[in-house]
Amino acid sequence: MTISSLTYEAYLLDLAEGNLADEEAMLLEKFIREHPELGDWEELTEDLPLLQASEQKFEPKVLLKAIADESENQPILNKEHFDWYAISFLENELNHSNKKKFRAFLASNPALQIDFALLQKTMLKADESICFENKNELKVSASIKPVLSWQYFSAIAASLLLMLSISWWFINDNTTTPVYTEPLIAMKSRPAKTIFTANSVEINAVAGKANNTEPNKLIPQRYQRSNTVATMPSLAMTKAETISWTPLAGLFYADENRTLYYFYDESAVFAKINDNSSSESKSLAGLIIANAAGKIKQVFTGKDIAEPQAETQLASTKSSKINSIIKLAESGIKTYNILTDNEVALEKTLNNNGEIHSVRFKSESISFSKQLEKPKQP
Amino acid sequence: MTRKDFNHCVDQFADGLFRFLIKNIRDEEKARDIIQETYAKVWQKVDDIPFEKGKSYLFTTAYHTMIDEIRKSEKMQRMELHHTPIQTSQNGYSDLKEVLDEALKTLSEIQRSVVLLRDYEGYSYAEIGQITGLSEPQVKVYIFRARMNLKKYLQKIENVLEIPA
Repeated sequence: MTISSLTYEAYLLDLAEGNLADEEAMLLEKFIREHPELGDWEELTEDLPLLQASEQKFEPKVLLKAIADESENQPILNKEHFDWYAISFLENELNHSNKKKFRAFLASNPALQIDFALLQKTMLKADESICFENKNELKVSASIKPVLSWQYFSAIAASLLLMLSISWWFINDNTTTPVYTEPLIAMKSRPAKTIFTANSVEINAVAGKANNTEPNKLIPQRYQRSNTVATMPSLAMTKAETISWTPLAGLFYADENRTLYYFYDESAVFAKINDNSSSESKSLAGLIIANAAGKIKQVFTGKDIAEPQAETQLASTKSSKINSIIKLAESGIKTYNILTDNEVALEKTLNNNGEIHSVRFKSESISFSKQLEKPKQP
Repeated sequence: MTRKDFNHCVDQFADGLFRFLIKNIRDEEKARDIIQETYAKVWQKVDDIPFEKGKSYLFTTAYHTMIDEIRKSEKMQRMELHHTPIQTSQNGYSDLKEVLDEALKTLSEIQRSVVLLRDYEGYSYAEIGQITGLSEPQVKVYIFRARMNLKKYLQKIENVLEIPA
């Protein structure tokens, strides 16, 4: 063994126990004096008399190694070496031949069986009744630190989405804001309950492509449909780095009843909702966001998310442009709350006809409202 | 290791760590503090620790935190020892577990740690070496010395009374 910063403490213990030869003690002192960061030699050795002194004179370390060795130079199994053999036997360190020898030796030496029984008792058993009761105090909740970079990224994306959807609503004249027309392109459905990797989707899904005809617009309104097979982008969230209107780009999934793929591809979005009814009336963006939020929540919590929630939430958007925008904002807020463990709220006030009259945005630090109805012309 | 993995490590290993620490330092409150500190330290590096090495990291961190704690309190204890007569056991043992508990106290820190890691957690000599910073042969020797010391203790006690198993 060599004296090093990892082993010097063991050597100190050896010194304290009187198991270090003079030469080794000198080497140890030299090593510690050469490494003052380990401590002062006088101070370190001052502690030594307080350590447990061992009266037991132990065999050289080579003996221990030799016992388990297959070589012929093994120590003789006799009374003098009995303890070492017995401990090696109990530690399951003896080879087959030595085990056999040891058993035979033990059987022929009844007096040593008492010693062996004592050594057997030194094999400690953990007391299972001792438990650490406050495990919950040690556990870490999701809000303390984002664990995975994509989760962190998703949280940022959700924040962007929240800001976008809210500011879009409040900045624009809401009653005239056009509802985004979703591009819905046919894709091969794939019933599954998994979140696909980019590769598996690429292999199994034949995708259409939506080409954005207004690439310079933040929120494009027109698309050209084509039948070309889309190129699936990487699932990596870096694809969403470009600030497009789709901050959650890159997330896509499928379930048993509907297939929904959604990703960022040259500023265009394309997806297939695999059911027979025309889905063009639904807010695809909202649906995607809600489902993506559900999937992310599923990853976080391990609990299944009720999938139809998104559909229910968005089914009525055809008739009301306002509803569609609000639903989009609500989805954004929901996603934001899930990902960041916040409690931001969007409250709606209805008029006598059951229509949305005003919207109030509330967070811990800010709150503002917007009236939605245009004043009637006299 | 993810947050979920980390929390799994709490469920899986906190009890074992607690037992290991309690048997070593005999102070529940300190053992709890060391566990808190250990998990906090591991959490700081959670992104760099593979899940399969979580247990080893925890025991290594706990071991070194415990050693630091022992060293910190050693001087104070020494001062107290000058004034307080050392209490000796009155041999009021009811079973082998109690005797072994007392016997463990007579071992040096390092002997106690290695034998507990070996017997409680089933670590190999190499793994114990990684946790304690010892070489494998050193671990073996310390375990053998520990068992011999325990045996000697049991021998003395058995000469005085019969211990129920």
